[in-house]
Amino acid sequence: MRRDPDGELMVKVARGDRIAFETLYRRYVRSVYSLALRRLGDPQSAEDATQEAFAAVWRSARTFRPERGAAAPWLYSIARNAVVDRFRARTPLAAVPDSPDEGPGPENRAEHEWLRWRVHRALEELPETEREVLALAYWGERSQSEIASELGIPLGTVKTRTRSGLSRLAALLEEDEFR
Amino acid sequence: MSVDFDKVIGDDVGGAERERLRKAHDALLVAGPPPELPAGLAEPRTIQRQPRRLLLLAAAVAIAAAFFGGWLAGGAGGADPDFSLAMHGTGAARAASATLDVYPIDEAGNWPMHMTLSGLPEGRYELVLTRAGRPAVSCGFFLVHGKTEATLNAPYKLRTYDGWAVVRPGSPQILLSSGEI
Repeated sequence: MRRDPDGELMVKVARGDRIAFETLYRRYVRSVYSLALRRLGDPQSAEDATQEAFAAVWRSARTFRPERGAAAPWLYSIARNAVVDRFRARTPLAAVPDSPDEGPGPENRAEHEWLRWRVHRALEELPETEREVLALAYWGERSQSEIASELGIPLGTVKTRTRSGLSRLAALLEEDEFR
Repeated sequence: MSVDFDKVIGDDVGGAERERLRKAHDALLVAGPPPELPAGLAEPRTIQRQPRRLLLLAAAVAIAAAFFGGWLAGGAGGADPDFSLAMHGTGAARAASATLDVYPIDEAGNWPMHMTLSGLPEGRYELVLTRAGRPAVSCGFFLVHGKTEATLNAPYKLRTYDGWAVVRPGSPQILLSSGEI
């Protein structure tokens, strides 16, 4: 079985290790908040749901069994439950629309949600220099020359960091699949 | 959002490595940008474990009671609480307040408790022990109707927790808190 550093942290959290909890928090808070924000749409509710999710992680850490699987899916399911609970609490049943949703089907949505979770989690592991060029290229829609000019670094460095960031991201996503 | 993979990577990477990078590229496009974190999430909520405080408090109160004679005369099962705590409503239940009397531990390890509370809307609630200010374990459920008295129990080692709180069953939102003990 491959090492699961987040699983090792979870075991420590179950023993009440504050530092381990804080490390886990920093690794996952963006993934949890992203999930909550997409589902709930409202930043305040998403923030509350994120706090609730981490409270649930702290409370339920003892139920995590590393031999049954990796920590990431376990944390994902805790976070999703916290978000769904908050969504249900504020949405009366009568408000559920009659007409079918025209967006992607539930399977696709779940698949995208899980992928988004993993990608956002993996981005936290990249060196800041690589994350920065990827963010500018993918979400800032800058060309590589524009990134070089904006960051004041040679074009070759932008290319190297982009490639290395993508390669590291690919490796992290592959690790997830094998755990 | 459209980013041209060939422009990003160039044409000097081929074969399996190119496919690996393309997968990561596609994943980034599907995932979209991670959101900016609000200030309230920048740091985890404070976790402070003060494992021995409750036990020390209980021990200090018990010693004081023994010193003044009443506790020894009445025995551990006497009518006087071992210690009492005031609980205050949080922002989610400002009007609520409670008193929690904790009675001496029995031979099995139970801490019997009696709670008197007011200011909560009618409904079902749960008394929990907190760890790092968060609900950790249940001390039982009770119904509220006006001013309410409830008999509860903490079958736990109190030293591993740092206070009590009242929540709605299954919800982490704290309505009443003893604060850190």
